[in-house]
Amino acid sequence: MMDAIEKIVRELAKSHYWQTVYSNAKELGLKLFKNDTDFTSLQIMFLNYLNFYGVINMDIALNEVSDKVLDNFIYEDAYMYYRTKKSRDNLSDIKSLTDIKSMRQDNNKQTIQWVFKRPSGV
Amino acid sequence: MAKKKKENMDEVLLEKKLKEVKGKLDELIKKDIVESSLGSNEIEFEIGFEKYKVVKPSYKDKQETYKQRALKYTELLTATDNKGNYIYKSEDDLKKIYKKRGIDIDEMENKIKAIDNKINNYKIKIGEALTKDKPDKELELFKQEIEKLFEEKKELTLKKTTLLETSIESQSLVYALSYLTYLITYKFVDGKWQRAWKTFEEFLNTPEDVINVISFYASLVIDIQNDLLNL
Repeated sequence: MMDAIEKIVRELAKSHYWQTVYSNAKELGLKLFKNDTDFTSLQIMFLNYLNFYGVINMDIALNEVSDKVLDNFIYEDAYMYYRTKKSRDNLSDIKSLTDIKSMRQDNNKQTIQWVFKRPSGV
Repeated sequence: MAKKKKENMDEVLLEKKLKEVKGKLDELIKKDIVESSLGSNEIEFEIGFEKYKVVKPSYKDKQETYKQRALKYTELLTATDNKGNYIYKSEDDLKKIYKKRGIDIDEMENKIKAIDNKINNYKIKIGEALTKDKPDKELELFKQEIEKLFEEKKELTLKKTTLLETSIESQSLVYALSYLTYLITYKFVDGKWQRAWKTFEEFLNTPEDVINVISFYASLVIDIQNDLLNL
């Protein structure tokens, strides 16, 4: 049952109408639902998919991915999985670079401390 | 003879066409229901001439359901037959019993995890192919592999769920879901909304077709993970 509903929610969120409403709602601060809080499971699923398709459409516009991605749900899920994994990998690369940098800085600090260490008895 | 055969074929075709149209109509109705249910955290609908609504569970509803679930769990856990044997089994107990009969549920879970890993590997391949404009043939091939894996996973998951559906955990969850549905359903009577049933017993005695419709709408507002499991 939930699979069938999820399929419908995806189709709605992917539609030109809802993508336009979503992008305007973000820019102009329009309300999508009557309620601002206490979202239902259906509303949360819909919001997630609005964002999901917003990201894909943006990447297509930026030529990051072919528009074939929107041919079916499998391509869409696969691309978003690949995209998330890639940015995670990039983040961990940056993190390890930062770690190396800070380690080097620490070593430098130690060297500087050592160079300017006050000799004992002075 | 030939005329009769043609008539039969026409009937079959007509029936097929009607089924197709009905399927599409069902899809459109469902789509319409889902779209109109998105606007608010209260969903109004009609069954016959009666107006109902389901609302997003409040903290109080969830707490009340949690209490009832705990009571049901304990009741099932301690229920014994005339000889003092426990009647219901926990998931772990059932797993042990099935294992003795040659059905390894842990192994099934491992297989499901392995399938997930394979699916994720194909997803990366598709993602790469889509960003590097690889030929459609390659994409289609990966897609077909994923579809096969989805089928395998679906089969295994269904088998596992069926095998464990009599467990104490599963029974108490189904009970909690019914209880929460009872708490969040309202009926429009004499110009105002009031609880659809005075007691849970009354809810349980409601005709099944009415319960099925209400459960469908309730499933649109209840988040099983957050409303029933993470309390």
